[in-house]
Amino acid sequence: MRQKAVFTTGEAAEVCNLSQQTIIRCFDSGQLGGFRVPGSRFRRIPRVELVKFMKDNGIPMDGMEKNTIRVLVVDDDPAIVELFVDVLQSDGRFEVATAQTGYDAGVLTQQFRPDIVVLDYMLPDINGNVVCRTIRNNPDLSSTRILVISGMVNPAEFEELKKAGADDFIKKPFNIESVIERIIKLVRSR
Amino acid sequence: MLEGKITMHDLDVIVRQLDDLPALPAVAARVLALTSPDIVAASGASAVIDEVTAVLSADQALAARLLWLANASASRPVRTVSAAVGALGIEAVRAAVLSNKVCEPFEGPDARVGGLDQRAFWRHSLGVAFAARLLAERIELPIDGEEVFLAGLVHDIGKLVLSESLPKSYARCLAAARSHNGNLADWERKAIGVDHLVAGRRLAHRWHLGSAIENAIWLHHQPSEAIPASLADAALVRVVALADTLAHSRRIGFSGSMVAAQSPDGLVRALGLGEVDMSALAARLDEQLDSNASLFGLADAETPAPSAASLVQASAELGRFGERMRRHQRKLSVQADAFVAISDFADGMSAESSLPDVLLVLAETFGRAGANTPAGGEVVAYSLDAQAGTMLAVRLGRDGRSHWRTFALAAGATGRGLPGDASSPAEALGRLLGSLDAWDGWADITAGRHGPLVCGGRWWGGVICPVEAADDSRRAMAGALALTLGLVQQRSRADAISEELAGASQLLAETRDALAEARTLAAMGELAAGAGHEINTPLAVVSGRAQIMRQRAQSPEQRRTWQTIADQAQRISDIITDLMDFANPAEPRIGPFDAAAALSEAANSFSSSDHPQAKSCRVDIQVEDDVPAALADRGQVQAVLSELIANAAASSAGLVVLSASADESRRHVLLRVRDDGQGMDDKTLARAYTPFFSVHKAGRRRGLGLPKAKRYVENNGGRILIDSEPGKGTVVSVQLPAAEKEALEGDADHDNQQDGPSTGS
Repeated sequence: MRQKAVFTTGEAAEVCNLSQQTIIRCFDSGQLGGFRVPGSRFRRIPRVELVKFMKDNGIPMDGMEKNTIRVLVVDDDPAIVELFVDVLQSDGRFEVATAQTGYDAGVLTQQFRPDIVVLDYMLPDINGNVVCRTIRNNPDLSSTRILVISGMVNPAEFEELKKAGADDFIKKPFNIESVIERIIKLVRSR
Repeated sequence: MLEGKITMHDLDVIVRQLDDLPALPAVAARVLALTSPDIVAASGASAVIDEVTAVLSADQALAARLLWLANASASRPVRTVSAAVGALGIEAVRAAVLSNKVCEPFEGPDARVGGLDQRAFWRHSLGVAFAARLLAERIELPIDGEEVFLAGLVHDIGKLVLSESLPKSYARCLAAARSHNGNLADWERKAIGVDHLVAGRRLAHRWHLGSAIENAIWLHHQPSEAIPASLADAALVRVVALADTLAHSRRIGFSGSMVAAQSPDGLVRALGLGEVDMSALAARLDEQLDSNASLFGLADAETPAPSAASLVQASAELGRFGERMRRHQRKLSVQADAFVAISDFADGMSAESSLPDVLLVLAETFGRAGANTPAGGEVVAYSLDAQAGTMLAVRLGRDGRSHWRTFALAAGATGRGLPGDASSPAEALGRLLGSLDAWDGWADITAGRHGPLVCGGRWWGGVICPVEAADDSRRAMAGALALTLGLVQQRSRADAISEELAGASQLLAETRDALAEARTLAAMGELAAGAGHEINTPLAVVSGRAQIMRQRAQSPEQRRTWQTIADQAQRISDIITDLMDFANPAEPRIGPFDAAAALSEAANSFSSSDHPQAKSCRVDIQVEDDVPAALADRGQVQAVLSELIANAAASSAGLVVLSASADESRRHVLLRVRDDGQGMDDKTLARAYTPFFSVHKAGRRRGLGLPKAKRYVENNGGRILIDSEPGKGTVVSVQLPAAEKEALEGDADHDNQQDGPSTGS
């Protein structure tokens, strides 16, 4: 249940250890965000809203999850880094660290031991494929997944990256839900 | 008439045949001279009107035309020619006479000779004429405005020469230029061997329109910098060339060419003009065309009065009759005297005579020599071109009509010494042609005698005439005739070489344009790739933030707004990707694949797409039996097909039909996408491959579909052809190379894979 993206009021009650009536009351008063299934009165609560509700009200997160996915976001553009931090942290299933240079990325992979590196191809100091190779050459990081994001879709460059050890590729701009899905899928595939 | 590929000499023959039609000179030349501004200034307008009226009254067709024109614009009926001239004004009369007389030799009962739409053609010519005169006024060209107007009006007259003489071949040229979206002159050279530039030059030469107009006709496709600085009429040539591009870009009429011969930039610069001048000119041009089109009988909605058309016909008949009478009379007055013959021969010649002219006069001269004898009979004159290995011959029949034919010479025919004098025709021809097979049935030479024309130790040609023709007189004049023939041959070769050179320099310019286009595309590709990095990052932030806001939105309305922002960010990114693909297409991975399967896959992907017509439009597939496998990049071909289906669906009335077949040779696979929509007119068709051009105004899709499809298909060694007519729907055909027969088996798994990065959107 903890990996679900959308919850029913019953499921939310279970996660929060509250009664379903309480959840419905909070939903209807707007304290707990969500939407109604089109064409019916059923209430649905996105994970982001549920996490926010639990944090706002000091409800223990135990019911939600225990093992978070460790994500290292590497991009020289601070707006992109911030976007990922917002998206991943509000989701609740992830623990996030960030780097803006290839050098920092190298240092952080050693310290933070991420499950997955979300890597921009164009970095100010060293290129993405060098970062890929550095990670692949470290036996301790053999299970670390690499998801490359880039503004370009040149098939030749993509081939290069695959050879250097990248696991998957996403083009900017992206759908944030499918990025999250992709991250989870890659980490689970280990 | 001749069909198929023709040579420069044949062209002279064609132009000569046209010359038998009633031509420009008499009436038009007279009116031109009378109405020139100097004369009008000197003798006064009313005097000029009187004289012009007198000249025009002699030409019934013109008089009828002018009366009809004057009545079309006058409020009260105009009944006399002088009233018509007065009502229309000298300027208008002059223009009307010119335009009427110039096109008259080509007016037939069929308005689409050789597939050329005469009305659209003359509208184009008229547009160029007006544009040329405006341009000349603007740059203060020191040439009479009417001369410039005439140059513009006749700049494409070679097209009429070719379409009149070779209607079938010419219709093919027009169709090819149309479906390949190309320049007509290229196809004329490919299919006929000669383009309208050269043909038009020859006609202008015969009509004595003057060297300035001749050059404007001949060189108006040349790029500005290739027009020799030493050419006295360079400015006029440029003015006409620029007027031509202007008429093309304003879509005035239709010249048969889908694209202008060159870009206007170089010409605009060379004439010292700027963008502002050009747009001012364009506006004035529209104005003038609107107000003058009816004057020339070319307004879109009107048809000429039937009586006027039949009068034109009748006067053409009269003209031909007069020509025949003239020849007849000349024959009657002939005496079999060498001196008279030579002086006749000299009379028939001028410094401008072409090789066929000379041959015909030669044959006539000998025909006259034998005319008094009971045998009478046919006369043949021929000219040898050792370099090209051909013999051009004219046969003058008993009825005085001339027949032309080109024969191939046997190898080394002229290299084995000179022929003996007065040998038998069979012997001489056998030596020249190898055998008499080609000759048999064309001319009867059994009763003739052969006389070679030799000068300076070279065999230039000869004459075959009845035995009774006075041998002595022939011998006496043979030397002089051979000399003349030799000189004319040399000159016509020099002419041909200069024409070929002009063609070559044009080809060079086209190659250069193609190179420039390739460079532009490469630069565009780099730019788009760079832009991909730079623009997609902020777009990812915009789109990502909008998606977060959508998740947190309280109302459906807000959710929709944020979704729209995210979608539009994605759309910008798609445009950049498209541009990059267009400028820098991925290398095709060529392999054999089943064309029918590719069609049905493309159809499925269309039906499940978010295209607005995806659900409402039916897509049928028809596959012929035994279609060979296609040899190309399957992924790219499918992308092209999806694009074409989407295009077809957008303009269809609900049905798109896909088909796969093999061409006759079975060397190509044809994939067709047909819709039952409105079809395209020539204007739209001409711009079909222009990036970002779209006929769908509201909510239009990106206009890269067809240009991109063309680029991909050509990258795969294929061709793309559009066939469309208003009201009849559109068929786009993709022609791909076919694979060897066994290629598909054993390779079937391989070509199903589609490589390339997956995308996250």
